[in-house]
Amino acid sequence: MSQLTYGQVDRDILRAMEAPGRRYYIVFLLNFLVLAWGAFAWRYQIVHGMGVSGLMHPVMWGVYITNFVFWVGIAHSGTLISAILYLFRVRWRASVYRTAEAVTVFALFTAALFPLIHLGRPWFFYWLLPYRQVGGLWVNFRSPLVWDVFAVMTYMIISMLFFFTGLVPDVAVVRNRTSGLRHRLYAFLAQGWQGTDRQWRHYKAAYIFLAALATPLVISVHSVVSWDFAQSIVPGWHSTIFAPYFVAGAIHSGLAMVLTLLIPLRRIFRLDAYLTQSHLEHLAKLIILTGLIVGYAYIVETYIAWYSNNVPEWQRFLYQVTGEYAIPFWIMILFNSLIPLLFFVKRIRTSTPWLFAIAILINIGMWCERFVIIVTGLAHEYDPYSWGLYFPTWVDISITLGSFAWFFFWFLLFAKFLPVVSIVEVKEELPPPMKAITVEG
Amino acid sequence: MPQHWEERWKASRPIAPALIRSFVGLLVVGIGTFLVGLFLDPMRAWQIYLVNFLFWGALAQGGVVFAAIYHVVEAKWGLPIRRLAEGMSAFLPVSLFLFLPLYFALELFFGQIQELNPSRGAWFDSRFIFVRGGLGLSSMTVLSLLFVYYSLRPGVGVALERGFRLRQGLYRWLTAEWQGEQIEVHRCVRGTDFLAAGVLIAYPITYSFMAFDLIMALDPFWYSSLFGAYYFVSTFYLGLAGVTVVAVLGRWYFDMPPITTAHLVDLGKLLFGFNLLYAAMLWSQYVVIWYGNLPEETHFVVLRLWENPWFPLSWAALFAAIFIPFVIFLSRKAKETPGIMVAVGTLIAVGLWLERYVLVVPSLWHGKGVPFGWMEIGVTLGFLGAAGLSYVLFLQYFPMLPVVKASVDGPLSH
Amino acid sequence: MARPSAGLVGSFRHLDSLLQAIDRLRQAGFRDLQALSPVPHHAIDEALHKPPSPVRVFTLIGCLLGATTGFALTIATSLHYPLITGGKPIVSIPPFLIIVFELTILFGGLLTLGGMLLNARLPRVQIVPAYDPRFSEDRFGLWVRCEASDFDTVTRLLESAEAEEVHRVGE
Repeated sequence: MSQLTYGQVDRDILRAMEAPGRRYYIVFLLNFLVLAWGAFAWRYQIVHGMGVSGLMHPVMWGVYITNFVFWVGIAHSGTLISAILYLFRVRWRASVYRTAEAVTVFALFTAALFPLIHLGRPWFFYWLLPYRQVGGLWVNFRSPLVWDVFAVMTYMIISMLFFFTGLVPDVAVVRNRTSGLRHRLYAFLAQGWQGTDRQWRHYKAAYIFLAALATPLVISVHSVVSWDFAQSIVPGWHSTIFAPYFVAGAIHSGLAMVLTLLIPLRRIFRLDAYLTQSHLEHLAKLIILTGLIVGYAYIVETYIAWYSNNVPEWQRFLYQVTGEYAIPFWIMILFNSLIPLLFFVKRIRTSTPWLFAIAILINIGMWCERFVIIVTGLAHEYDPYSWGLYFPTWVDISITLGSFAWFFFWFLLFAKFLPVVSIVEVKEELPPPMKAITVEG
Repeated sequence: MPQHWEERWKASRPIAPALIRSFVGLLVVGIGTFLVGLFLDPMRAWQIYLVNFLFWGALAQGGVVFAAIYHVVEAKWGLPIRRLAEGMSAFLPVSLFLFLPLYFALELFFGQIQELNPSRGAWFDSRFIFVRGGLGLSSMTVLSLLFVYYSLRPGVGVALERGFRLRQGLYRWLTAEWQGEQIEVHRCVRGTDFLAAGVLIAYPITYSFMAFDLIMALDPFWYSSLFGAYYFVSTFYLGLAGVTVVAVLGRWYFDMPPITTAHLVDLGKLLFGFNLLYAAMLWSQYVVIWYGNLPEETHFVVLRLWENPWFPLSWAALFAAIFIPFVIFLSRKAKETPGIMVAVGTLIAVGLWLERYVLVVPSLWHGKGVPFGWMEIGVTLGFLGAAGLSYVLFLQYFPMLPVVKASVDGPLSH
Repeated sequence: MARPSAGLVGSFRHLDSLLQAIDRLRQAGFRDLQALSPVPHHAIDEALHKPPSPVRVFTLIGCLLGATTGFALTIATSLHYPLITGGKPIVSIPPFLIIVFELTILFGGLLTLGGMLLNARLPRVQIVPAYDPRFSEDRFGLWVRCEASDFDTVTRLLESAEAEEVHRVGE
């Protein structure tokens, strides 16, 4: 990357924003059809009631809550890469973080839909917000579900702030090169950015404090999501390890999603000089770490289920391993904690097809993990009389597919309308142009 | 690298014999107190022995884990601190040796628990606990020492090549089959890569099971699945506090210019981060137990946080290890001031000592009041003597600055 | 003393030329300087002797405000309509702390943004005339506000530091 100049960086990154070709429109259209189908399924559910989904006593949380947890989790890696690695002054994050942050924002757009879909009567969503209701009643702040509202909304606001703040100096470059309507759009986003020393000084200070705030925030968000489960006394849910285990799992799935998106992006937009093989390798190394943490959590959960000498807890574990949902359970063990260990082999973590394939498997595995936690917990509680099963119907499945399309819809727009690699941060990593040639190293 | 070499050796000024003598004195006092204590009240003697065994071993291991992480992430911000952290490994073999006597205490600790909760069965047979604990600790110690060995070897070898004359016997033994600087540096970097990964994989497993077996199991019914992870985060936090203290003391005592204010600020930021992580690990357990409100889980917490006589100790530990450092770390000025950093590091260490005390003792002690007197102080001082002695001997015998990566990393400055 | 409205803008190809120009101008007594650059660089701030940004104060105030709001909101609303749920006390501090935490971060973040906008004078509708699109790409600019009588001196100083071009802006 050291041969690049500032001007070259502008040209390369802005090239990705030129008018799209036919392939882009085809992909966009196909994606839009899936999205429309998902929207139709939701409409169908609203009209006919929640009975059309597979939800049935005792499993009243199914695929919708699975999707909620999954998408909130996907969001986490973006903040890890953009905020935590920033605080640790990790240099390779510069080219990756814009995409990762976009993943965060769009994943939260998707995640936030699911509580609404799950509500059944989504038009009453505002009952979740803290305001004085009839007779002076307020929301119940002791309920973990209300913590969720606060955590996810805060996370959404702060990560959008972070995303748009990071974009401002880049968008100023785009502003200067466009005209007409597009110019006005970018001029609005750039907010009159000029790059004076005063602007930079306050900008950098704000950026580092936003990163410092986002770091504990991101850890709190998936902890709060995990506490939706752990605060109850449902066997398999009530476990103190849930918070860190969910956070690690969230980052695990998020990193896999970032890899899944970066690999095609890099190829389509010919950004090999910016998103190098070593960037992908660094992400793979992080996946080893999160995979090990997730594997540790699986083992410790099992150990403590046995150690606690708590009969329902141990029975539920046996059910999870051998019951109706054993297949997703073994998929989760295999895909999340065993297959990522292949990244210890350098040949595998430096090969793009392997990276792509394993990233997809981790995405599947992490989705299954959430499904297994939620559904087996409810299907097999204390009282054998009230055990039951849940299987998704076409409505559940269509809405799930639609949510992926919704996510990609935003991502496709992002890829064309905004710089997918941060122009400013890539330039910062380059040696600044100097009159006196200094010999490095 | 070579031209810095002599400079770096000069940085290491001899350790004052008075310091060594006083550590030996403390060690003798500790052994004496412990032996007398065994006759007077074996439970008291053993429980404080366990507390100190957990604390000082963790301090040493935490330091080595810090060095291993530093190596694995290819950090470049604090090279001079790395060797000071590696030096903490000197206590690990001593700690392993100190594990052996615990064999005689396990019956005392676990016999009664077996009666109260027989379902635990053979897994909590005291011989089995001893064997698996011993295996875990030995593998941790071997991996850590090998890691430090590969990190030291090039420096020692280069010293010999450049005609360094002191401690020839030891150095020749350490650099057996020396193949010349070029090859050795390369070989040892690979060795440290491999061993650092080994340390980092073995560490969470060993320390989780230490926590489950030697702390959690002391209470016959309590369990918390996060406890293992909480304990290894706490141990790492302790190691980091220890590294901060020795970094400042090293800078003062050896007059080491390479440890700059920027290094202290970075250490302060890391400590700040782990302060929050440690608090999060505690909180994640607390809030789940509070909300679930199951008696088998809550009794452990209530006894320590809200009941006489333990609650003042627990809150003191929380203030010393979490709240006070948190407030201090908010200020950048504080992180730049060596005196404050030493004070905060020590405060955190004291807090974490208290933490281990309140985790262990209330499960075992059924007498009146808080067992804290000359016996506890004496045994603690003994452990301090042993740990201090092994650390200063390391500093006296080995180069203060790592060479392994110096050639790769370039200058020592920030 | 009224701030001169006019000034000169020098544009530089190299960062070190810019730093040199800043040093020379400051030595010659011109203190009203503003650098324009495509990337931030701490050397520029050092050369201009600018104090550290006060944004951190905004962050701190935001965090404190958020924490207070969190406590006030949860405790007051629970007391206002005391309804026991889940066998928990009306004022349950552990769950409330989670709301407090989230609001601390939220207000802290919002005030950080506000602090930046206020201090950096953003958003702005009018771009200063000294700005040139190339200053967002690969050139460094230095905007010197001075009296018309000083133009010659300043031009000479800028050119001595290898400014590619120097031009007038403002009235």
